[in-house]
Amino acid sequence: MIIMTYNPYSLEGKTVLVTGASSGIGQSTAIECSKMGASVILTGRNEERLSLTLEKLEGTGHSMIVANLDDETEIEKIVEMASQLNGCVCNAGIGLGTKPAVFYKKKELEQIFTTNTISSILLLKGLVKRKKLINPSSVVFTSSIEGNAITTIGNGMYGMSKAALTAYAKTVALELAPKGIRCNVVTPGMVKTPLTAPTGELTQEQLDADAAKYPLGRYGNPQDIAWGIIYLLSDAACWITGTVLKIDGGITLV
Amino acid sequence: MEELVSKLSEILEVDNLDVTKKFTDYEEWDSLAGLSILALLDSDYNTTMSGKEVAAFDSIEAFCKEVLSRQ
Repeated sequence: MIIMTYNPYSLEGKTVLVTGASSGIGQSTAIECSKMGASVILTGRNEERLSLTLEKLEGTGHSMIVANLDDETEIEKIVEMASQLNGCVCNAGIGLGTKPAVFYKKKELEQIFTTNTISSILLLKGLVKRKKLINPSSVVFTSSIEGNAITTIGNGMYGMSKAALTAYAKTVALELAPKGIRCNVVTPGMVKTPLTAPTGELTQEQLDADAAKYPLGRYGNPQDIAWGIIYLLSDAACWITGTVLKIDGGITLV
Repeated sequence: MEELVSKLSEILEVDNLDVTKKFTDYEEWDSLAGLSILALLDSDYNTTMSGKEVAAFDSIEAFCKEVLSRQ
């Protein structure tokens, strides 16, 4: 007899906080987590877009916290308002376009590191100090193949911020292991999200040609990354910490 | 115009830039040069263009005139 309820990948009964949940990978992760049975706490800067994500969630018990992670007091607000968590997806991130290294500005460097790296570090610090992550629990960071597995002209600021996030995740994985808090990273390849939508710098033709280079024939969809994140959140990954899961359609093999 | 041409020469690493030529006529024209010009427009001339627009100018002179007309 097949036991239909057997599913080690289920998030049934778990509460998961997702940052950057109003669009892209964060939104998809929130939706897929809800489909896998989790109660999801959404955070993001834009109340309207966050509400739209909330409406798309399946099941009940979800909530949202409007907050700007660039602001330390707002991080504190999230920590304060969050219930006990089984999972946290540190996903919020920005790109500042492509720019050669000799044109970097201090302000831009500060901005990208604040949003892509420091905000997640401070959020996790707060959650741990306030004992909001239970034992066992799982934290997943959305990094990127950029800066971790590949280097491309003009993407240095983004790559640095994501590589720093990965380095941090490994350290904190080691430090939080005794508390039963697993910390892992996903490094997506190019995923179709508002962050990677065609801008003036790259034409649709250039993007199509780039997508064709992927061994699996296309750019990623946000869901492709969400499913990897769900695996790392689930009990199926209970003996995995400090790992970097590449979800990239095979592009780093080329 | 002279200052802009000088900056473009530096980006393309060409000593005597012939402004009657197109950017794409230069073998030094590549993605890094293109990105550098976009960044230059943003940082020094407070204006933006797409890479496609920059490459499409009939001459570097025409590009310079367009940039300076926006000042």
